[in-house]
Amino acid sequence: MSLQRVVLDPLVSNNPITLQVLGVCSALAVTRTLLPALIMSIAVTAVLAFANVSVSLIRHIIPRSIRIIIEVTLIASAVIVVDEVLKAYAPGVSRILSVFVGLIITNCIVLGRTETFAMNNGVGASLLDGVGNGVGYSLVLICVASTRELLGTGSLLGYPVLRLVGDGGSYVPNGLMALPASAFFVIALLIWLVRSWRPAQVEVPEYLSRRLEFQETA
Amino acid sequence: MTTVESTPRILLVAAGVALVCSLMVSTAVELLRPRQLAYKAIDRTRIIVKAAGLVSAAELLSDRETVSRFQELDVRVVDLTTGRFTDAVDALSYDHRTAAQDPELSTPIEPARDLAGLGRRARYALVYLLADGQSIRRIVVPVHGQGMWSTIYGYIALESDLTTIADVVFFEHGETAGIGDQIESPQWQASWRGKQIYDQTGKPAIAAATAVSGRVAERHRVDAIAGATVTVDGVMNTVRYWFGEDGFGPFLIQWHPAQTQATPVPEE
Repeated sequence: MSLQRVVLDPLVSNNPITLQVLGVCSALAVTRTLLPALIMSIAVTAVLAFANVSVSLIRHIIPRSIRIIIEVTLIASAVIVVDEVLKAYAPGVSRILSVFVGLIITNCIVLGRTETFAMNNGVGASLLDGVGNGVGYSLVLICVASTRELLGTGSLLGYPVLRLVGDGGSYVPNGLMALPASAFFVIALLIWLVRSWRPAQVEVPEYLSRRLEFQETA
Repeated sequence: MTTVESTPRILLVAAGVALVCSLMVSTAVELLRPRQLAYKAIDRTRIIVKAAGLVSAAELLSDRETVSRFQELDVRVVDLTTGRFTDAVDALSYDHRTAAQDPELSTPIEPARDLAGLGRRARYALVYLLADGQSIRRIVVPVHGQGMWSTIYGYIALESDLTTIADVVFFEHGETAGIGDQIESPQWQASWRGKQIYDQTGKPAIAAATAVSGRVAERHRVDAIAGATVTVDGVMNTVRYWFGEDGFGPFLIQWHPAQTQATPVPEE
């Protein structure tokens, strides 16, 4: 795979959220407004890049029997560092993100990339893969968070965009968008859009794939 | 591949990774701590300034303005055993969280009287006075106590009658996100304003209205938070403890308006 594809593929055609449907929990939790989503995006991208590079560096000396433990240790350390940096330099956002920064450790995207990519590829390619997947994740987060903040509060990054009815405008904020459930709807719509644009991403329904297997064995 | 998979090799790699990671984490924590502490200190100052009513809700103060408004407050040390002001510790450097762990500066609380679930109580506490010439306009006192999962920290500001709540702020806790953390919501904290801490007999009577608490007079009643009964009970017990005999009770009662008409700024 060319290096260009390593970094560009995860943006749309192999996006960790819309195609692989990984890391959805955090995408639901931090997308009420745009600013925390942006900070979360940077945090996940940094952790992904660090974890991929460090795992790739020592991939030849990691014993297979403890490889997952090693990967998780490296990921967890990177997450703690990121969390401390946020507490020192963005304490307000760090409070909003609360546990979700710590929960990057359990984000399937990170362990998924170290296990499937960094364990088998060189340092440069792993760095690009980490950044690519981080940006892919970020794109979805930013789309969802902008939609929710704009429709839910009429502003973006706290700056008013749509004039609210209360301020003499005509926009009635959609309270549903402020609730976590709306993130499900927005992500689902996004996945629908992407798969309409790229029909190759549509999966065969499970009951059909089962039937095919059954016919083959019979 | 057998060498990579051998037991000594596994132990070596595991220990190596653990060592490098722990070095990385501890270096980061150590380097960033001063900044985090500075932020915490200014944040604490901001909360006290807000509780003292020196900033309106809509106002966003810069760090510098926060500190300059904080200067308007008179910070005093109270000896909780006597209820009098004291100079035994320095008000600027005193930290009653660490003091509560220090055997020389704290005493164990009898379990039967330990409403707030603290175990130990520091002998001295800081109070913040907003004086207006010779009389007190507001007084801000710190409280802390056990919630459901964690210790909850807050400040309570009283009006000059020393029983009407001017403002409350609960700012640090580890309660359930989305449920217990509602104690941080400005709406809930605003519902405390104007409530009376003490009843006619001078006992702390403030209580949350829950199904089990029975009837609570309106002037002592704070709304409960649905789903956060244990947290709210913890907050109420904390407030009752700190305004009771073992907390600021003896300190507040001595210059209560019932005894002297205008609340004078007490002499040291």
